[in-house]
Amino acid sequence: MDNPSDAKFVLLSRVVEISNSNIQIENRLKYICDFLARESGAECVCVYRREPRKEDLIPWVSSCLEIEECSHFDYRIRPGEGVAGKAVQKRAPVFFSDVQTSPPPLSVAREIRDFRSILSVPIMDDVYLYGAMNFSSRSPVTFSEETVRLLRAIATEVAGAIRNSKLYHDARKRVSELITLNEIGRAITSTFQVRDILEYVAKTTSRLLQSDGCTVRLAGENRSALKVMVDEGYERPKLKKEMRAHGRLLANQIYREKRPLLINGPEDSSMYLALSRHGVTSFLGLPIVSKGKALGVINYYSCSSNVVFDMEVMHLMQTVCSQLANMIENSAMFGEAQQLARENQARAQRFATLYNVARALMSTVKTERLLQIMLYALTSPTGFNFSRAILFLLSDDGRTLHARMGMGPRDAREARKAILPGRVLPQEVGTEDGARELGKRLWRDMEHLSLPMGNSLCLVTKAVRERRSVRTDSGCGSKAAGPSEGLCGSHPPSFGTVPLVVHGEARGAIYVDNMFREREITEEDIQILTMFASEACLAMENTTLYESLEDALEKVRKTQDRLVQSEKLAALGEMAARIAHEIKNPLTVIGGFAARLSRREKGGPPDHVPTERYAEIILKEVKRLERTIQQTLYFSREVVPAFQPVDINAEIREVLAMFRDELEEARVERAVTLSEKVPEISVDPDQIRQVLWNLVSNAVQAMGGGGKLTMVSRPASGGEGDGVVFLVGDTGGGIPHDVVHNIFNPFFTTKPKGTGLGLPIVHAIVQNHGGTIQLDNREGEGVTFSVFLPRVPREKGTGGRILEQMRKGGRNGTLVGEHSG
Amino acid sequence: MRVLIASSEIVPFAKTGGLADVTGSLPKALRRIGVEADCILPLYRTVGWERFPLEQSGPPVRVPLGHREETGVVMETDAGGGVRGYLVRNDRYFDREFYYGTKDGDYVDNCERFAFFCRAIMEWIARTGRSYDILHCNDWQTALAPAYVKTLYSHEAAFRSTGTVFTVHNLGYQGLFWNHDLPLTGLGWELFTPKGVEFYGKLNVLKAGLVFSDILTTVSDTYSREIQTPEYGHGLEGVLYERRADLYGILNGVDYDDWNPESDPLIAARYTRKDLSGKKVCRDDLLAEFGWAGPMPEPIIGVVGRFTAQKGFDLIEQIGEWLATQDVRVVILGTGERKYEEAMAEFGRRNPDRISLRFAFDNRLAHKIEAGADIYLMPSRYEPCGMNQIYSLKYGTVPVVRNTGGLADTVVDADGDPAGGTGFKFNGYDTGDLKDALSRAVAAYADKPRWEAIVKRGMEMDFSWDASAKRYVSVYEKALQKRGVRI
Repeated sequence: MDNPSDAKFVLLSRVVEISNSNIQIENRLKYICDFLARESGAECVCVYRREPRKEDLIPWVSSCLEIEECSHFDYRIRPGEGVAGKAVQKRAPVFFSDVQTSPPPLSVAREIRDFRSILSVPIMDDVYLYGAMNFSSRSPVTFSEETVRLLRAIATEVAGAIRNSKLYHDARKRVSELITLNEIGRAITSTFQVRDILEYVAKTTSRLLQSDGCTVRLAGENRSALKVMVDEGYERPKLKKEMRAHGRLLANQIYREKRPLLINGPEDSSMYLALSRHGVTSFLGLPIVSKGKALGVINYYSCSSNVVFDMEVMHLMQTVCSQLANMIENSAMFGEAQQLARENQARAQRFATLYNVARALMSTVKTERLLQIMLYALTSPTGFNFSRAILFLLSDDGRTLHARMGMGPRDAREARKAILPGRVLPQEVGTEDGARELGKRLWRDMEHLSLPMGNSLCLVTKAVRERRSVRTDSGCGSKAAGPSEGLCGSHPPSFGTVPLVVHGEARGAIYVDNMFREREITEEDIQILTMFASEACLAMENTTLYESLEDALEKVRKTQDRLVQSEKLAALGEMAARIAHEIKNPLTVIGGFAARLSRREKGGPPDHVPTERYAEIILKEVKRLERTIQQTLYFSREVVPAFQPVDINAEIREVLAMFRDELEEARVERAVTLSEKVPEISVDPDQIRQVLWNLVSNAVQAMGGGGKLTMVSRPASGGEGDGVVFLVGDTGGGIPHDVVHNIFNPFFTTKPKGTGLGLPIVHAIVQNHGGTIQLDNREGEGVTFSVFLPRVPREKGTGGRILEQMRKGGRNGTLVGEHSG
Repeated sequence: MRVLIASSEIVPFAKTGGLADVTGSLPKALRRIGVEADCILPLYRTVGWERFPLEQSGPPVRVPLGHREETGVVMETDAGGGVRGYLVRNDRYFDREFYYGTKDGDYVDNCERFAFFCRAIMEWIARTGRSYDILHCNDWQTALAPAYVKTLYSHEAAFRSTGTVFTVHNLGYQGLFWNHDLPLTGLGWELFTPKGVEFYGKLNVLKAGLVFSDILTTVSDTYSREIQTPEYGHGLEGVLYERRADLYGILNGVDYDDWNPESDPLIAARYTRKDLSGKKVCRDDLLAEFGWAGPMPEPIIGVVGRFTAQKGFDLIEQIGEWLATQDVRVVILGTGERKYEEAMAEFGRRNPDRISLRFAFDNRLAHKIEAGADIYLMPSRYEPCGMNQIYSLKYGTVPVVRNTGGLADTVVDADGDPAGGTGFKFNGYDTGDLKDALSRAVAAYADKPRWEAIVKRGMEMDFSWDASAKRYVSVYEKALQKRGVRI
């Protein structure tokens, strides 16, 4: 370097080259220091860095030391102190050629060490001061004006390098923070699990911020106290779980004020000293605020002088906190919705259970079974799933509650065993196995338990007395309730009792508890239990009613049987008399004419005795006897009809033809309307002919002095069923209303010469064909019989007894023969 | 079995140290025993397009990098011995004068550069439908890849059954970066813990490899045990101890094609174990090379290597004055930290007839020293494997080494085992032990028959790649077993 300006140029260009290279700033500074130390002859070149907050200078890189060693320096130079401090304060180079002869006003021992001459050049550009560069020598050195100018230029270049490095690192840091922020945002919106997210945020942000500890607190339900949700970090021995008391104090302040709090020195907060005693150098606390409402607080602590939270970090974290706040709100909303859905589901489940239980209750009319089912419904996992249930009934005198039945495990071992696979209630209890199984679960010994109603402490009797349900979580306080080891002595603190009320009158109570289980009896349990109780009361009432109805019916049946018996005897007597009467006349006639013939044989007046005529008379009377006997026999044996297809119109025409002479004789008009649409029906033709014969015969007999015989046939329609209806009507004046109910009774007759068996036989035949016969009786005018015959005969109905009863009951007007299947 | 060896440097494409030798030789050795091994590294400016015909392999790969996306192009060429060489090209990151930084410091964006490299490998494999059974990564520059296999790419079909093997060549280089480089890697902050990739508030990329790889290896048995202790663990002894069940030591092989006195074209004369006369020629040639002339009965001590504390240069510095008083000649070749360079230069100036130095990285001269010296000195503070002591053995130059790492595994002390000794070892890292070992070596040198026996035993030793390659195959199989792959 012969030419000094050339040498300066080489020096400067080398420094520019180094300061612009793409390596770590420390490496660049180190290289520059080393280079300058060699070129300037200074024994040590050291770069001091200005602390961003306190303006203190701390050694950064030195030519005498390795980079790593520099970071162990623990001294700082305050502005104005020492040589560098002075240079920084003055923003100009400060030079001491020999500190021994002219010591700097405020010296810093370690800056000076054993150097004698020190030149300090501030590292600055036009806006900012980054630090200072010291050139130190052990021997007195003088720096020319020109050299100082050159070193100032170099310092400016170094300032540029530092600025660029800062910008570069700031940019990278910003990018890193943004990426992290983005990730946190994504995570926050990905779930509703608040605790997971709080943990994730605490982990991620405390690592991003390099904090030594982070605590997240959330306000409780009632928004009163903050609760610690997450503790992250706190691995430094001194920083024990964030010095709870201080942390809480700070958190409460932040929560109250809803403003972030940054503490980096005593000027920020009076808490600084307390914090720094625990080694904390920097504190950042942020409220989690949603729509003006504080939800929680996040606290960050740093114990390292390298990590100082600043406004930038604060703003960054505010973004996170507001995202967090939204998430917490959403999660709460989601939670509520979920809770609601759960409740609805539970409610639906309870109603389904209630429905099943109601069905089960209706499956029996036996009180004993009903009570078993009730208890089972209360204790079954498929029912209401209480642990134990006892049914109390009030004694007749109303003084005592007797335990009627109890069900449930007697000890913990049994309780574990009792958890059986759930089956649907009605199926379960409907079977024999079910009944046996139920029987096994009963407490036999329970039946001795009784509670005096006078016991004012007992909550079970109280429920009955006051006719309202009782629930407690703290026992009843009643100990003296008699021989009640199974209950009052040992029931859990939580139990419930619901009264059984029928027609406003208490009949007993249901007691339930969850002995051997963690679950308590809730208000909802009581609600559903109350519903169950009213259902159970209904079922119990039904059973009682049914049982008394059964009794009554039994009595009626017995009476009725006796009645029928006596009536039958009476009828038999009457019939015998009538038969005797019926037989007496022909027999008298036959006897008379037979006597005459006999006398003729013995030699009475000859020839003019008309033997043939007598014989005819006798024969006619015998036939009459035969008919009477035959008709009587109809009732004494079952006549099975022989069914075959029959055209009812043809039968009607035939009968009319047979009666032609008699009709003409009696001057009876005929009004016949036969429908061609009547279907063929399956009947016994002989029996149906007999029906027609009897009906026409009755009609003709009724119209002794002339009248009109109406005969109609038509297909059955609508409600009548599938088949044929035919009518036989007369104008014979009808049947007196006081006897009309007797007309189907055997041997009842209004005719002087009738057997009284015609209409009963008609009725019996129609009924045997599954048909019906109706009577339209218009007193003073006439009678019309209307017969329905099904197309295919149906089984005889089972309601014979009822028909009989009705007949006996004597309904007026229309009689209906049952033809239901 | 298909193996992809990923490394920041691989011979013949790029080399700054022993790593490149290993990653260059291993795939070829694997190919020789029937394993389909390929290698991948960044395409540096110095690779030289004219030397290797490069063809693009597949479409450009898009690599997510923090909030950005970078594009990489994978080039393909023949790496020799049947090995396909893949080079990841991105000029923004790799078209630079140096691989890792200037001699004054590392590039500021090294984390970003090698995160890109690792992620590009992953993307390239996943998007081009390739599948490798084993991804074998080396040192911090490729340590993120095993972590990616287990995290970001765990659901990719291409990696579902890929076993990862991570070899630590030198625990001293860990890839330490500030915490704000973490988002660049794509790993979540949940991994930024002492159990994950955090190291005293910083991002430790090497740890990603140590934590996430199926199998860990180091380059010698002794070193694999040493690094589980605080003395050698560089702060990672805890992690390594935790993973000791999956940690194996496999000695590096030596390429005897390049380092063989019988065929070495770089030395003055060839020689064999049976006929050592050529070594004498080499010795004279070395003396001439370092500016000395005439017959010199005293032993020549050779030193080749980086001037760092790791290689024991602080010890050499401390015994410098003592050495000058001994009846020996010392030749030193290498470059490194300035303070050692300066100290060595000072010794040279003061004792020109005892110590001669070359501040250079000179392969030819290295061969000459290995062949021409009598004693080879390697007093390393720690030595994962070490190559020069193995070369020395083959060249009949008796190694004096510290009993550590690969040195401990390759050299047998001639006093401790008179029948099998191949060199001299000392235990404590201090000048006393070193002086003692050197004195013993110098004394033995005076005993010509004994010395010749030691020399010949050393030359008999075989540290070729074939044995090492087989051991690598066995750890590959272990890695596959860990991934649930049936072999």
